[in-house]
Amino acid sequence: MSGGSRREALTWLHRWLGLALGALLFAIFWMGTLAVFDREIDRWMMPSTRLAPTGAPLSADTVWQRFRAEATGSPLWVLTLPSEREPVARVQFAPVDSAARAIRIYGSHKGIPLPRERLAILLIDPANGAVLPDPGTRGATGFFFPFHWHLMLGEGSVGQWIVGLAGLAMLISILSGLIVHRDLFTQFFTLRAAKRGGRLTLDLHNAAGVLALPFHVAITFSGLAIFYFLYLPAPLEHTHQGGERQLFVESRSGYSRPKAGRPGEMASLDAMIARAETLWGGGRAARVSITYPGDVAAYVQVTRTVEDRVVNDPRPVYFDAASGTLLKFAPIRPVASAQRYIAGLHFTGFNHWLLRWLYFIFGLLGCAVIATGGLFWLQRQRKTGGPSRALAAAEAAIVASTTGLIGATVAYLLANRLLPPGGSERAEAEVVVFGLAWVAFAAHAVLRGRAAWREQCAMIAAGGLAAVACNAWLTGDNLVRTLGRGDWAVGGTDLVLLIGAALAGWSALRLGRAAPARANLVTRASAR
Amino acid sequence: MTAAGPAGTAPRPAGRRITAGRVALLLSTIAGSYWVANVVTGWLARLLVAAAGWQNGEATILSCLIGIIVCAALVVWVFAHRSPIRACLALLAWGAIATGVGWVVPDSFGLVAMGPPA
Amino acid sequence: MTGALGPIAALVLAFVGLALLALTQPGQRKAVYGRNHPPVGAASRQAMRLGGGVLVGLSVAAVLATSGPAFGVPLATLLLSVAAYAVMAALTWTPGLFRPGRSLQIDQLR
Repeated sequence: MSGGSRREALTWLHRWLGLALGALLFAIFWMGTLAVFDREIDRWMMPSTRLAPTGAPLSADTVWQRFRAEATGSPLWVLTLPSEREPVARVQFAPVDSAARAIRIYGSHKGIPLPRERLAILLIDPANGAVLPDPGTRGATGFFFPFHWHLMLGEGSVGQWIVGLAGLAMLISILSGLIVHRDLFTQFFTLRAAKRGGRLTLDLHNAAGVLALPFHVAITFSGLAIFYFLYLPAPLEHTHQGGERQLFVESRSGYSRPKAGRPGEMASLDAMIARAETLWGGGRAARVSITYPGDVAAYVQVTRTVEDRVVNDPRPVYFDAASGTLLKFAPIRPVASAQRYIAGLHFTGFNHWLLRWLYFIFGLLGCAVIATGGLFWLQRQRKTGGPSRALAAAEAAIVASTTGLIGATVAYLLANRLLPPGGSERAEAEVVVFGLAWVAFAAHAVLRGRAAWREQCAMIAAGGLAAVACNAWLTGDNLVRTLGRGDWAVGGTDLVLLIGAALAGWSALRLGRAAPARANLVTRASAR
Repeated sequence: MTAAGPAGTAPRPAGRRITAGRVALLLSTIAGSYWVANVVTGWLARLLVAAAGWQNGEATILSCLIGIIVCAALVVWVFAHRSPIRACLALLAWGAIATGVGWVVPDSFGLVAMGPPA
Repeated sequence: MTGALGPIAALVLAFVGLALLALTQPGQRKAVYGRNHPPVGAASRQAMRLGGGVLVGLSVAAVLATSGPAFGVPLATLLLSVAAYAVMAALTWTPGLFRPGRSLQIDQLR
């Protein structure tokens, strides 16, 4: 069969997968890009956590004593020790009346029977062990990140499957796009900036895609590779009768034993941490997890930081809670380690600042690939088909899913600054503002047609500037102060907001200049 | 406008239009590719364990990573094929046969992958 | 600051290497030298491709040497892409950069 028909079929595949899932993919890439700096954005969104790093390490025993009574009966109690990126400590457990208390750990086939995101979070000031007031926000770690990998529907939910499908579609789009790309090598460096319309958009789509190809392939594949056991369950049924749990215990150096149902004591957590750090031969502990806290069969897992390496292997060490005896410390096997390297490439748990910034920029390029793909289709449709209601609807959808989403994100940050103080209701209110803003941007796109692009860019610019101004005014942390004290988390977030606002503003101006000419074309066309 | 193949092959979707038939082909292809990717992943894992002596977890992980690539590649293969409809049907048939045989002869490693656990 | 030496060297090496590779392409040569400039001969093209390839290889090596393989592989790959974007931008807006003896010109007539 001739190459022409194969190209048409693959172009059809690339185009319609892209159009069907483009909005979802843009959202996943956008949220994922923001999540690279989720802990930094958390500092911006939770002013009470903008703490200078203390010299003295936090005593896990002191924190445990404070929570011993409340946490007994919770299946898990987790202490995340402070780090360079997160200067506060986090304590998580299932409070007395929560549904998470009923979750069974032993005997569950799930790899992670009780995900940490289902536990309540309390923030601890490491300088004095005091519990910080509820920041009243999900921040970035509690919103952008979970939105990215399960659309806020929960671990193991249909949301995670939808994201997986989108990831698969991205891989297919990349493969098919490469095959149909004419003159892949001769046009490798080509950007016809003087052209307008579809030609330039296609060049931008190719530039954002092909020159950053290794990143797009790696980030998409690695994202799917994290949940290999979920997305391809067939081998698991035959190799691990105990399901995911058995796989985790054997291949991720996990440990599991049943609850006794009788109260027990807790040996020194700090001693266990010290022992673990010795076993690792270097590297600090990142997290201490107690399973069945308060029970005589409780056991403690101490995990190592991954901030100094790519391999996302926390090298868990298990201790008997009552006696402090070492229960398990198993090295990871080669293929499992390779999978953790691939997962590590996606998680960006490392503290390598150049690499993180590159990921952020290339993540935005991923958003650009998706957006320019949709734009190219739109421009071609306009040229070949002329204005129509279906086309207007399609354009509104593309606006809503790109600038609309970015605008909703800025609204989320503004709400974070402007809502009155509160607890979990305030956190939910911020998410509601995000949702309402997104709907409003979508409605604006429907009502304003092609003008929506520049108007939404202008709104994003204004919103970004307002967010920086509100941060400076309401917390006193302006750029001079934050960068002056070396706080790159808050200062960096402000800088990105300012640069983003500048780009959005410039886009609005450029779109505004082009608009009168195009508007005339449209009125003339519709008048025929 | 469809590009007719040589005598005996089904036409592949040419042109820009989206039709019910093409959507059905796309969805069936994704489903079939996912099904066969699971079959292939299961085969590979069992082969590595039984024939090469690999540890269960190692075999599972490697097979799944390969399976992700196989899934995406199969979708592209169907649409790049002379006759995508036939290629899609072949995928679905392969998945069905492998799963069916797996249910009848459960522990035949290397031949079948989907069926009741060993 | 010394930690930045590897990546900076890598960017420079990759930029020059990729530029050499780009300038073996007729389309890019036209943009830089104009329509009437004679095309590059086969021997020159081979030399430029070899030189470009070697420089790109050195770029990757520089990153691997200073950052180790674990961080080096993703870092080298991304820096290569950054250099490719820089070459594309230069070819689009300042092709004069590649013309020997001429000062930098912002070329808006492409």
